[in-house]
Amino acid sequence: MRKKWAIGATSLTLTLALGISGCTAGDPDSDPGSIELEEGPLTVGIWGGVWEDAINAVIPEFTAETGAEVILDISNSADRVSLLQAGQGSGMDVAFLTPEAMIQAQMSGVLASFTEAEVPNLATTQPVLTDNFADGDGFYAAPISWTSTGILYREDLVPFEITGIEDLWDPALEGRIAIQNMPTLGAASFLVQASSVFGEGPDDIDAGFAALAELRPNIQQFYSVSSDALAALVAGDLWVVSTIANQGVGLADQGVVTILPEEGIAYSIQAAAVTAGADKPNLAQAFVDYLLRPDVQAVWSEAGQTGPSGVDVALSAAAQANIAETPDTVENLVDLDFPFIAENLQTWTERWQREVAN
Amino acid sequence: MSTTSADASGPGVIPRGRRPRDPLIGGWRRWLLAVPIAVVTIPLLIVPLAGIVRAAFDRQTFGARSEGVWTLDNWIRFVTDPFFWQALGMTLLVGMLTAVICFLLGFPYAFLVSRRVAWRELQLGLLIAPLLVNMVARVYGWQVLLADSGPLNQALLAIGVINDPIRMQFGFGAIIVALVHVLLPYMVLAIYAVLGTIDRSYEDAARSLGAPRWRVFRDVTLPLAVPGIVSGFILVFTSAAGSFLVPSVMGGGRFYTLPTLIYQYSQTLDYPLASVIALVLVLVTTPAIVAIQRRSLRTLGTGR
Repeated sequence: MRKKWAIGATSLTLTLALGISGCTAGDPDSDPGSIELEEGPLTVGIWGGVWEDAINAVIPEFTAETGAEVILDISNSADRVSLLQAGQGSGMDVAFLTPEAMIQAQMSGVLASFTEAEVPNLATTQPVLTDNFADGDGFYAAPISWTSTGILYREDLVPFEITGIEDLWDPALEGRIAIQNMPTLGAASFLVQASSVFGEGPDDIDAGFAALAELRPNIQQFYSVSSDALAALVAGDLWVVSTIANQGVGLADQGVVTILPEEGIAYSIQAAAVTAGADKPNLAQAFVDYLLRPDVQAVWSEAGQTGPSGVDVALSAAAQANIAETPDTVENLVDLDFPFIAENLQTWTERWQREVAN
Repeated sequence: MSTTSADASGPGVIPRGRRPRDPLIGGWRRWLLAVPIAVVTIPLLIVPLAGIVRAAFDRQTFGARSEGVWTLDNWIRFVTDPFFWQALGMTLLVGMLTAVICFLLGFPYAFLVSRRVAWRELQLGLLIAPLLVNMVARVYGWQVLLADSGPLNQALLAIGVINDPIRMQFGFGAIIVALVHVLLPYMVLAIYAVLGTIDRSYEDAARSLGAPRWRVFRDVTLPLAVPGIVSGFILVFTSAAGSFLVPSVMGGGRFYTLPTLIYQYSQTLDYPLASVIALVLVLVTTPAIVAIQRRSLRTLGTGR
């Protein structure tokens, strides 16, 4: 009798213990580091070119750690937002977008927010970048890297030293300049900078458009693909190109000088978000967190030739020499109002067509 | 031989208003032949086109794909903005000018190839060979060729024709040059396909009746070549007017046609307006094609 009672009590205790452990398994509040990750593959939407190189450099270790394959969906930001807005079936778990596109996506309700508890490495990123994606107590995207916009010019062809945006209006540069075409963040940032330089401030867009209309004689092309402009710069057909500063670093031996404008540095952020329709939300969050790890940030920066978003990312001397983004650069960034840019991009594009580029 | 006449009767006479029965396939079975193309066309053309038509009457606001309304706002935007009319005009001008230049350059070559038996394969091969090269590569090749530092300017500088490079790389002229280069083979092949089937006995008969060569060409050869000319013209016109790559690359971002506007507005996620522009392109080019085709059929005197 006593033996049967002991067996029953032991069984009941074991059953209760298993039941309690089963209830608490996967509860993020009980242990943030023990969230069960879904099985792969994980689908990531990202741009091609150097960004494809950067992500391909960091995927193998993620796959080794989690067992999850990563599939890339290559397209531009606008196409990616459109796909997410189209509804279920986009197939994307993680979406890389530029800030203005990220805002558009967030307003469309196609992104899932996360907290620092779910993506702990968010705490290691530079606030000036991360704060752009704040959403209440959490964030709807994480900055993975950033690039500064510089002025690249042929020192042997331009008859004076260029130190800032205002120098581009010099009549000596007639027909020798290329700037990015709308509707892009690069073109919008240039417009905002022109508004700051020639107007009352970054919001004085009318002054910016007036200034760009005056700049028209100097502009040879409004490029959509920066490599077109860079090839012309190296060939000497163009003398000045406003583009990602890092693209000029490697052209120094071909007579190209890269400067960051003294009026302030415009920039873009390569941000990653978990989509609202992600099939593997936990795995997606883990991937974003992985990309923010300092060691992974270093690999990403070197492969993508871009500045890391992390505060304490140790880059090799060679990698640092290849990029214009430094801790000092961050201090001189132009205060870009990305929501303002995103809300007005359509209107500005129409004005650009009629007043600047036509 | 079958005849149709209200007054004729008897075997072999088909009543007025009825088509002769096809000897190979008739009745409902002939519609089965359309099933494969319908399987492809309906989901890949008709359905997307219906989506574009729907989007053209919708409205899109910032942060949302569409409002799901029915409105003429985007059509009114298009019709009341001179900028869009300018882009439409440029689109038609690019199409027409490219087609005319391709005809002026292509017809003589097609005529030559159709007459000379020797080296015909080589001549056609030289014409078709550029088609084997990716169109993007060819367009960027023109960018290099027309650049200030390109071989054309360098050659002109070297022989002393010019003292400074001529800016040829971006603009209307560069767009037309690139389009003509890309589309000329299609004009030549369309014309050659018809010229090669012309019965020489018509020309021989005209010559035997005393017509000079130029009149034989004008009154016999050229009218018989019209279907090929029309086909080539339609092909080149629609391809040139609908081209996005060439105007965007060779225009330097300062040249707006309807296809480049469709791309720009889709990149700002303004799909309703992009859909309106796309439909305008279809609505404008289709009647032009029909009008050209009807004109050519009247020239042939078929009366259909």
